[in-house]
Amino acid sequence: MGAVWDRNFYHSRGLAQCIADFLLVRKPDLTVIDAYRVLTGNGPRSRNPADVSLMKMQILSTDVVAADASGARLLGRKPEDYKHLRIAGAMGFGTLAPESLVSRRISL
Amino acid sequence: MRTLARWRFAIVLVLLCLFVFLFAVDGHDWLWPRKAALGPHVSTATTFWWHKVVVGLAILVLTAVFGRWYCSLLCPAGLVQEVFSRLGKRLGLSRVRHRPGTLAGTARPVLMLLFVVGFACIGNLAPLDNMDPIGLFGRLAVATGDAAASAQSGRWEYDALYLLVFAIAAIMLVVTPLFLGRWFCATLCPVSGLFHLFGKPPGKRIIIDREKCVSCGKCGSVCPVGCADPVGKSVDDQRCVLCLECAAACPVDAIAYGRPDSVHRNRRVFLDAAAAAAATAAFVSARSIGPALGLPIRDPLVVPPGSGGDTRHRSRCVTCQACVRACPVGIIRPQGDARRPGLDFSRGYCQYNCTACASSCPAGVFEPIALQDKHRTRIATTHLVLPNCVVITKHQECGACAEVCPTHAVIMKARGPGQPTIPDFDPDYCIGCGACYHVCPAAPRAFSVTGLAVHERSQGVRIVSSGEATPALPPPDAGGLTEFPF
Repeated sequence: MGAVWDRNFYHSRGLAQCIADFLLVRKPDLTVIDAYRVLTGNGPRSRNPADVSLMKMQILSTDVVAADASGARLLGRKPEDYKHLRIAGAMGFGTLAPESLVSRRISL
Repeated sequence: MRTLARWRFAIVLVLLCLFVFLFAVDGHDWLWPRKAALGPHVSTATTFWWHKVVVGLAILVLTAVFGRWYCSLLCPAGLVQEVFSRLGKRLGLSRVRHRPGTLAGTARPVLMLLFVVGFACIGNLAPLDNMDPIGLFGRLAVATGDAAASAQSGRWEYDALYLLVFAIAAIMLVVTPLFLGRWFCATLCPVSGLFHLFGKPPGKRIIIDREKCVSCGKCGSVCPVGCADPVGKSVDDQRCVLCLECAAACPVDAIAYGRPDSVHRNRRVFLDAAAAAAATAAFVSARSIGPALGLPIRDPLVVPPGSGGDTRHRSRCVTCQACVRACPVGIIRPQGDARRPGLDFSRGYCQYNCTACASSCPAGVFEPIALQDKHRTRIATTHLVLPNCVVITKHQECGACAEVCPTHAVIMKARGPGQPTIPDFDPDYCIGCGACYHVCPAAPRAFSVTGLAVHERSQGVRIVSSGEATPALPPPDAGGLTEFPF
């Protein structure tokens, strides 16, 4: 995962909390989410081509929590359903409602 | 002289007994209790393959004809010892002086054959095995490489048994020859003892011309085993390893490697060669007694895909450690007393798209295996121990196992709203790669993986429909979204 050398540490101590806690070390200045080809099921590594959806989208934000919440919305889910987002929002790292932010939608 | 010969014979007998006792085949623990290994010739893994048998037979027959040529020509351990033996003589450390020895009679070959056949009956071809330069060299090389790597990293990663084996090997091959020359070859080596049986006296041997010899003593001082007698003007075949140093050192050319004058020489050579053939046939057939009797095999090793399973692997592997070197993740490690390579999943897991081990084996353990067949070959039985899972014990989210499983044998299943998903394991799809075991953060792990006597075929990759309703999203071959979804 790049910054995390021992994934077992995260997995054994509460994955959601650890993910949110990472923001205490360093909050990203810019988050880019590649939503060109999206895996919609049997993740994180499906062998079924039917699980792939071609969306051709990309999400960019200076608010990492809002970007992740947008990803959830892209899949038709509610951001509040995800524990790491709830914790990160409660810790004040960003908003779970990307609509509240000033955003631009660019079509190419 | 006779006492010395008997002492030597006693040592050989004791070591053969110890050898039989210590080096039983993996899994036949009903016969032998826990044991420790001695020296670098730690190999009870045997091969039933015709190549090994023919090579072994050829070596024995040639020994009957030419004497103990193998010890100074092919044996890797002998070679290493010779280097340090010469070094010891050069540095003045050597304590080797000529000591005459005598043959101990016909009881010896009979007992020797009994040991060898007895060995073979429990599935162990150790004497034949250690005549394998590939296997022996591989073991020495890998052990040395391991030690060098450990010295560099400052950490000894391997078990205490391996350390003991390597320490003894290092002493036997490096330290001992400095002071005692090739004492190991003449006294301890069981293969050398086997050779002596098949060449008694050998068809060709070191002969000192009594008329030419001036008893200068040079042969006695260069001999690494101390079997050259400048006074008696003879060389003892019992210990002579045919290094031919004496012949090289003789200033009057009195020493030759030739045929002794003997009326019965040809018959002797023929009898020895026939005995060699009979012994080899005995090894080969006795090897199958164990499996034929249905002897139980406990704790089969996890062996790499393509080897067909633990039963086939143990009958062919020469423990040369070539696969140990080839594995890119380093999970194949010598295991057990026999140092037979098996997968150690605490170090990593078998990579889904790799068949490096199968390509590296020089001993015919592996059938050539295509990648798609490897993807369906189950090499181990996996069990999910759900009570150990951190999702159950600590109510935390995980999913590491499902993330790495290459065939989706284990996937995460939803339990209910707000609850973390738990692993769902379908053994039909498992190929025993050990990934789930390796990444599991629980202690003790929530998976257990055990080897298979015969590898099985899996169902391939598990395809599971997502189940949960997702809004209509464009399929992969569509043109993408045309509107923003929120």
